[in-house]
Amino acid sequence: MAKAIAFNCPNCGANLNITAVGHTISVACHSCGSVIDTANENYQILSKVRSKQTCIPYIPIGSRGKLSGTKFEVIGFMQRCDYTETYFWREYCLYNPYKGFYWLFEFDGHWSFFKTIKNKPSQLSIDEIQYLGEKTYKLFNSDRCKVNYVEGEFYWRVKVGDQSEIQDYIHPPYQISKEKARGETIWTYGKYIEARHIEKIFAIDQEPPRSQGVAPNQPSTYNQSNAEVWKMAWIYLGLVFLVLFARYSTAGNSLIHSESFTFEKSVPYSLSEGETKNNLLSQPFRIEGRTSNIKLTLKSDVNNEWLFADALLVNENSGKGIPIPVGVEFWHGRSGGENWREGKKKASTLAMSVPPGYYRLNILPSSSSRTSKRFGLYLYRDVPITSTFFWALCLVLLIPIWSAWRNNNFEHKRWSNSDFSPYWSVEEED
Amino acid sequence: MLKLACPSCGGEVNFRSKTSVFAVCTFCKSNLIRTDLDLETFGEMGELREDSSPIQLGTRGKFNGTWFDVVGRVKVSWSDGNWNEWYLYFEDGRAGWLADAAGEFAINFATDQHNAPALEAIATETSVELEKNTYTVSDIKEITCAGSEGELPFKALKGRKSTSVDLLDSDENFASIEYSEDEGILAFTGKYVELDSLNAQNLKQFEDW
Repeated sequence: MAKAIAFNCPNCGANLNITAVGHTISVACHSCGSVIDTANENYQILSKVRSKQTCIPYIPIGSRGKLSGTKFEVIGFMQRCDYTETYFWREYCLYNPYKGFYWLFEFDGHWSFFKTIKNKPSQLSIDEIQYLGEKTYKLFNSDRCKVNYVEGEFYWRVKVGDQSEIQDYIHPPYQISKEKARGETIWTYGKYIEARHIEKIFAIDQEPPRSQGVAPNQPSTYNQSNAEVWKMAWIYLGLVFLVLFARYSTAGNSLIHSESFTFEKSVPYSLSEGETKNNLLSQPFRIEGRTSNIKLTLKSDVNNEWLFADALLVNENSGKGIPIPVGVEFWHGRSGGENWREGKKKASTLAMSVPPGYYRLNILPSSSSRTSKRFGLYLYRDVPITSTFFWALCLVLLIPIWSAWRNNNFEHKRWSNSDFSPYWSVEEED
Repeated sequence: MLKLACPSCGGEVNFRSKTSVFAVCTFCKSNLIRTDLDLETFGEMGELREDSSPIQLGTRGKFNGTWFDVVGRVKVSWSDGNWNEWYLYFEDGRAGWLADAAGEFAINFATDQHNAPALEAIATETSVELEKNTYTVSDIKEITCAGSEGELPFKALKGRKSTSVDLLDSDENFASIEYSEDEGILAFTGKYVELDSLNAQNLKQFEDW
């Protein structure tokens, strides 16, 4: 049975391991930073250059965890940076003897799981490639980068300062990277992973590095395609109509009381403060069923005048009143050789959430009429309100607009780190 | 199967494939060269250095519906690493290879090498046409045979030098060309495969895995 090899660092004596026996060509000592050549049994020191900065891997070397159904062990770790040393990212080498090598990348708290691919993506244009004849990937980044810190096992002779050329192409959550290093072109294919999964997979009792900004291949939270969003909007629209239909078909919309009154001009309007002499009181009536709305409609044959009923729906038992004022006005005439008319002889007011019980209407009428004026009051119960549905409709239509806006915002943020942003020219014009 | 006796130690030497002309004695590690029914000793191979390949002599697998046995191995090393070329004997009598480099596997077969370009005409990223398929050269390596075992179709002596060229295409097709002094140009084409897809049996066991 094949076993891992344990040996001591020839420089500092620290305990070191080789898990990928035969594959591991160099081991970087976690203690002194020496890189040891393990291609043969001599275990010669390749370099003693200690990196300027040390970097502690979030997933300790030797940790094991299951990714995509395969158990992997973290055997190597390196930090790399771009040539200007602005962006630093970390790469974990994962190993399984039956599956070979995979990589976990971490940049600004965003993680991706990568594997080497042996089918070369085809170049569609300078900034676009196609993989497996399916998805197209857009060039996001093209840079020279260098190794900044190393620790553990590598299947090549690793060295701080090693340089390579990298091109990243994205189709979130997927990413394809092309790396020219060690005289080879290596293509890797990866997928974005939520940081909390990493924490769980490797059972680490420490918060993962906080994710900042938007990663190149981070799936947009608002990434539903236009078609999907519209589909959703249509479903909601359907639901709104269904509710509307149900509301209309179950709505009582029944006339529960109607009564005629007369506004008496002869009665003095108000004798003194609190005087309610010309108040009109309706016959009592019963409101049945559940708590629902009430519509009060006023009809009067007003003619170049107005009539206003300051009505109060008073519960006979509790004495509580619900104000439900309603008024009509109608004007007409002739000016500039044309007839005009304005206003209506019929108007309604709604009162919401009226509980069942015995009620009366207490009405204080007023009018510009010079004579007495008759008016009719009609009380309807459980009236469907169309305007609610109109607003619901507007909100539904806002979904795709809002979603597109959010998505656009997200994409702007994503591409703000790229030299190949499709939004670039737009931003410059702004 | 051809059973012969090792001229050095008398141990049994098996040849499954008719195309095998070389073997390493399982018992005394002698290099044996076969000419028809004769075996000739050609020095000693010695022990192969331990590695983490899950494949071993005796591993069985299935490719495109045909079972194969792993009957030989060439361990190849280059300046920055090593890999294995496993020699396969298929049930239907064909012979093939299983390239095994750091967990990446490809089943491949010798193909007409006449279309292969001369080594001088090759550089990374150049296009090569093999069996009506266009490939791109991904890397060129100077390799040395680090040892071999089992039966093989050429004299896989330790220290044998050659140049290995790997080719990629946009599908999962594999191709490689080998340039060596003794065998000249050899071309191979095949398919990259996942180990799981081969229904592999009798794989090497790893402690703790």
